[in-house]
Amino acid sequence: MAKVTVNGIEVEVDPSYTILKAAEKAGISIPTFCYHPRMDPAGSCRICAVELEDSKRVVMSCVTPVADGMRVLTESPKIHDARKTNLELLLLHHPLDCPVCDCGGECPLQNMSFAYGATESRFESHRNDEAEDLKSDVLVFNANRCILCGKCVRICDEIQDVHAIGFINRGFDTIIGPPLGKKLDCEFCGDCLEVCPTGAITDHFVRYKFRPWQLEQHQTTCTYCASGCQMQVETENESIVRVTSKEGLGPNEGSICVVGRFGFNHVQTPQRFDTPYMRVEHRLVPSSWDEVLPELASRLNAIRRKGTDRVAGLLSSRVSLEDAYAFQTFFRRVLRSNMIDTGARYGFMNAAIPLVEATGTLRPLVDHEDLLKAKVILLVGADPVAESNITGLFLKRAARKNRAKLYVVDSEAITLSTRASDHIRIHPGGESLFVGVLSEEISSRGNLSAEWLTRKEELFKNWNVDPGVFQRLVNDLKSAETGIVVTGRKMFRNENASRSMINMMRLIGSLGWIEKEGCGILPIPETANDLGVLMMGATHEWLPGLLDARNESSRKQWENAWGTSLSYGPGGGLEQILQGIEEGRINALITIGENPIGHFPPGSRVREILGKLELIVALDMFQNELVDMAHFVLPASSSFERAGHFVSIEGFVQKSVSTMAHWGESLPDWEILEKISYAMGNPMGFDSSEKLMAEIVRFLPDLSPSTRNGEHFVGGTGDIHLVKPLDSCGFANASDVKGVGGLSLLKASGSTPHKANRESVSSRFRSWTEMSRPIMNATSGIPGEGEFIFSMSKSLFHSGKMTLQDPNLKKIQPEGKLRINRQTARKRKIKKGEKITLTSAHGRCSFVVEPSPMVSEFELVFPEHFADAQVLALFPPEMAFSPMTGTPTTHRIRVSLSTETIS
Amino acid sequence: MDTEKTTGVKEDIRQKEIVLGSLRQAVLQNLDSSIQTDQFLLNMGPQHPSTHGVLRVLLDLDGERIKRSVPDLGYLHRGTEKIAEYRTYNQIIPLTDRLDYVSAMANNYAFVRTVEKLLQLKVPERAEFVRTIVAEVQRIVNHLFWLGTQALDIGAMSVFFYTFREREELLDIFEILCGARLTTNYYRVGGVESDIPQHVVDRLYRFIDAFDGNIREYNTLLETNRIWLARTKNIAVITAEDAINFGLSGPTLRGSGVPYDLRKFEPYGAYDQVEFDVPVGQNGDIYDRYWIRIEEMRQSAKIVRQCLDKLPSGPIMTDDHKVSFPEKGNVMHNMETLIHHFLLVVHGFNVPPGDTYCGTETPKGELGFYIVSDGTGKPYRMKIRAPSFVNMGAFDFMAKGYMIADIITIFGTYDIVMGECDR
Amino acid sequence: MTLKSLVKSVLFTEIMQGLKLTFTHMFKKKITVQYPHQKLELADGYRGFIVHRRYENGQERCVGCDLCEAICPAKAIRVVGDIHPEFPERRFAKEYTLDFTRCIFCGFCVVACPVNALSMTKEYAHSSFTREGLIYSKDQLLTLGDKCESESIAYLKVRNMWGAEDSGKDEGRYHFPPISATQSGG
Repeated sequence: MAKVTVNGIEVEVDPSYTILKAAEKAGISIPTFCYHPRMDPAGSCRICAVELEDSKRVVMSCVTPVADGMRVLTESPKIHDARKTNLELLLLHHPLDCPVCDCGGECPLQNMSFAYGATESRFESHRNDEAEDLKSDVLVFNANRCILCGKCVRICDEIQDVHAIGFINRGFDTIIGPPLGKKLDCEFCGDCLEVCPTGAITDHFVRYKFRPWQLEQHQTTCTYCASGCQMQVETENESIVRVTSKEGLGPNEGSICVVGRFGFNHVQTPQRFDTPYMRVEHRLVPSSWDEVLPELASRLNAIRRKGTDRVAGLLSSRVSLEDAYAFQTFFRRVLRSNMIDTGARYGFMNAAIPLVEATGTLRPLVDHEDLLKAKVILLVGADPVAESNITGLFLKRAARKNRAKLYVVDSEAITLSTRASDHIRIHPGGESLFVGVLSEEISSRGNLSAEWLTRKEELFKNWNVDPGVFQRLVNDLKSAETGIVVTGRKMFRNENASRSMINMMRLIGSLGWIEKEGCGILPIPETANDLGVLMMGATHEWLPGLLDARNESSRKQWENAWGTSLSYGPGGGLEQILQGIEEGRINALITIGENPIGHFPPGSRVREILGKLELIVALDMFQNELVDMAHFVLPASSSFERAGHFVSIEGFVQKSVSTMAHWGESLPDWEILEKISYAMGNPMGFDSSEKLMAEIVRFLPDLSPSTRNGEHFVGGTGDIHLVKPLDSCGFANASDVKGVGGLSLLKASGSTPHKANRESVSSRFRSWTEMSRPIMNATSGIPGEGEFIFSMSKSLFHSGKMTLQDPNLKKIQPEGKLRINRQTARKRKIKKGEKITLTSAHGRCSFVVEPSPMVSEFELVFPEHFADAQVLALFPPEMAFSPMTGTPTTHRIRVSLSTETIS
Repeated sequence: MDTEKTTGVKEDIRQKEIVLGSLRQAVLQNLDSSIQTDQFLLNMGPQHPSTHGVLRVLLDLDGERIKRSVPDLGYLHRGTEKIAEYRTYNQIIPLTDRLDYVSAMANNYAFVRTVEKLLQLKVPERAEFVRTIVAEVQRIVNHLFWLGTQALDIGAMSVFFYTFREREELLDIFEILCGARLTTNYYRVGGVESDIPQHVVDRLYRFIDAFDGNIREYNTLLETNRIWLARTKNIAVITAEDAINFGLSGPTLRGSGVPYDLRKFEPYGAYDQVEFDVPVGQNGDIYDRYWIRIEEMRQSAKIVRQCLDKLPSGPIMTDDHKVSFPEKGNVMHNMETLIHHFLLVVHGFNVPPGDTYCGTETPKGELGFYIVSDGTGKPYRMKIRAPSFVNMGAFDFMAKGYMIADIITIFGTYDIVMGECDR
Repeated sequence: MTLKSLVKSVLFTEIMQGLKLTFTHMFKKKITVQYPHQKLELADGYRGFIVHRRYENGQERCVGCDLCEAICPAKAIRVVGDIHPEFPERRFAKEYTLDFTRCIFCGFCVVACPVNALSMTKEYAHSSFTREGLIYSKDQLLTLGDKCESESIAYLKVRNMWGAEDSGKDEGRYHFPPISATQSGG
């Protein structure tokens, strides 16, 4: 430890600290431009100058390490002069355009000049006169205003690892921008925009449309993916102008992705429903709540009287905990139905069911912090950058800065492949086979049975995987001090996903990672609240708290908790709902932000099946195929308009607040359900989202809100992490809340309330019967000559189909393009932007092509967001469901390619 | 804080109800008795030509004698103090114009002095002299206005024309100085908005030369006029002790013989560099206060003349552009200047955390601003100690026992302006 | 009471003196004017109605920077900025409304304007039968500015804000040029 005196205050710090960090520890802030707490210092702006008392030297505090006995002055006449001159020099070339600059009013350069600078320059000025770079739709680069602090370049390199912008030219001509003067093409995370201390990088979407002092800031949780980013929504007159982040705030530590930063405008587009609609004589007519509710209630009551399980419900997994809780309460208590399911059924359910069976909880064993500490990370079937951008950032940091060994197992090259120590290129859909072989290899300690040996050989031979790499992976996994398996969408949407997940659990079980702190598995949920809606029991399998819905004793527990008797039927998921409707056992369907038609091929009869329903009620924001069939369309509020809690990938329960006025007459989903139940004469009794959340926490105290870096700190060093509950929810003391029968399955550990309790997980895991039983996998098919495997991926620039309505994101990615291997394209003489036609056994569809070096030669990849009925027509019309988890199983299809276009 | 505020308001309302209730009680008792006695409850205002604004007074009369009077304030309340919490310091200056709207310059002066005290800002010497000149001219304007309306209230019509003749001349000078006659917005933190040109200096000299004669004209009409004497002598008498206890200030206090004048006690501006006397009265009646105001006009003219004689050259604004707007000509030529201009417009200048009270001798008495700063560009709290409001506290005491017709002269003797009273 | 004062009071001498004063004023120069037939000359720099100004070539000066909105103590000004429809690198005020029912004529907006697009005139008697009639748009303010150009220039000169125009330096104008200076046609 080194003893340093800063302005007379003595602090003891690690010798690796810089003077700046030491001063921060002493509670003294030093002005900076180029310093950023999450990045390596650059020392280019010369504003953080401090004086060493002994040698009377002026040094830059952000790059100078401390020495024992050092005495530092941060404010002195000498320092003031130095800063003043520096600022004068920085402003020498700055154009006189504060009045038209979007940064004016929140500009660190302005503020610093006002605080430390001269009021009039002593130098003759030479104003820069570069033309603005307006090529990009997202960011505007103005080289004239740039002070060359390099923060944007560094954050793009060090944090985002994208390298999209850099210094161009040298000396006085240096400017910052995308290389070779091209149009900016990157992940559009906007972190450079956020850190820019001047107006050199500005937001093109709201260019010239706002002034920072007119905006009101709301700190809220992003509700697109499960990263749980804390962001600032800035509004003027209750409409959203822009989204920003605060350095160091939240689990994301101040970084947010393109969808979070720019994807807010769809909630204020005129296409949104602003009033309830009712079908009168085959036409949807605008109506009002007062008209709709009694009519809807009487029809629901009539159906309810016919018996249990007569009404089915489908819930989007993008809704808040409150909505999900109200949804299942409405069905189980009011409608006496257990025919409910969520959007997690399309994918994440494949992971959730094995996870709950093996570990007893959906809370993760590891969080992002553990990723940074891990020595070996195995990434199977996931593209974290697109699926959960912040997880991706932490993985980049782990691999790049912390030198963790990252093994990527994927059929195509993903963003993280460049940072991987080894990329094992498997065949499309081969994740299950790979995981099967790997888990068998590890759990059998190398003594593979003959059957598995042939599989392993097949794997090496057919897929051209280097056995040495595989062996290295096995050795690393076995010898790793700490290791984590990260898995995601591609894994969940595998034909054998649930079995592979069981194999995955066997793998980490036999590695001993269940018991070991800092080791485990991190599945990336597909949407913002996959974890939350399942914890709230919005599926037919589980009651709130992940208690078995069909188990008599757990039903009793909730009967006691609610003080009512529950008489719902056996229920069922998506498969049973569709069956039930077809057989006439289900008469009504209520959907909240879900559209089952959009998930199945047009030939699959879903439309005809749904046509048999007496009553369809759709709670939605935009028009879709189901809305066209619905008898009642009720306008739902977006997550920007209402308060609610979301469970992040790390298990944090974070609050999203209301930032803008409700659009038209729209209402939150829970309130619509409450109003319906009231009109039905059987009110649930939820009168505010706060009270609703209070009830959830009363029964399931583990779900008390929590976050990381909940307190913003100015100029923090990034190593201050506060885990503290958000206090804004008005909950009772933790001491006077009791869980339902003390048997909540959401158990979290005491010190890290977001993570799973390792002790209870390991005791449950020991009794897990599947552990000892190897599960055979089907081999994955290899396409024949001239054939490809068509699969769908998540795009970084969209989240679900909702954001297709977003004007901003539509500018960034206006249409879905079919990605094809560049060599294959060259061989077949297909050029970028050309149209080609794919033909499967079931249909054909034409696509615009984008050759990419990332895609394997066997595969054609299309972003799922743009998959409309024409694209889905490629898939087989018969609906196949997994017998174990009830998830739809068809995700890939063999296709042949032709360059002719169909009319 | 909020609860304290509301309890304060509630308490206020309760007190008022008690008073009104007892008055009502008294009336009811009278109705009960078989013989009509001499008590009478009269509501005067709020729309009344001689209440100098919208003031309502409840009068409990015994014949034509006033037994009790309850002023009911607040009809002109605009929430200046609250608005100020959401405005930068510069933006508050035009708000202060609207306090005592017949002497806006004095309000400006009182406000900017308080902010300067918080900032510990030194104002250039010429600015101090210009400020003093303008403040004294404003005092003359105010007293002329008072004299004209007070005489008019009592029934002397002509005085009004003579006083307004001179007042117009001075307002013309204000118009040249700052572009407006009443809502002047002339003082700035750190100086004044524009310099006093030579032709205005000459005009002021000419005015002062003639002013003594003009005052003699007013006196010819009033000084010995028997009606004036009858209406002002021995009316609304208050002793020095009572006046101090009621917290009176300005001519109202000095009329009772207390030589309290902030210009002498805590000299500011250029007052320590000029000679002048503070006139005091003997009897503490309306007539004495009339004499004091006449004499103050003479003294003000004397101060203006001395200041004009000594008027130094130099800047009229502080050169600290972290506080004052930089010169407009430089704004679009110099980056630093532009930044300072921009931030002063948008966020204002930051005032160091702390609080201060600063009283200024305005024509009506001691106008004080109490400002609490939390270090930002806007005051955390601003309290205005308005002389009219405090003086109004002695109204019941001073009106007791006089005739109903005297009510008007008693209002007048405070020189009350409701804009300041209700804020 | 002395004899002298008795005589004085019986003869109403003090009243007579007053009457004599008013009588002599009958032969002095009149100081009143017959408004509205006759109007007083207002001083240059009078803070009357606010107007928008143009460059010599007719291009509006306003760049939509919102500074006047920021400083207005009465919140009478509303500026909605946007990208200029013809020149994507320029900011302009898509909407500019000045609510004269709220305006307190303090003159701060003119102080705040960095490009001298605003000025004040000697107009003071605008009236309207509706409130809306006193909410002026940018076009109305520009028209009024054209009408009172000399007054608005005089205001800026008297208030020491003309420096930006007369300094001879071209720098400030360089960054907010009249369109024809850089683009042909404008």
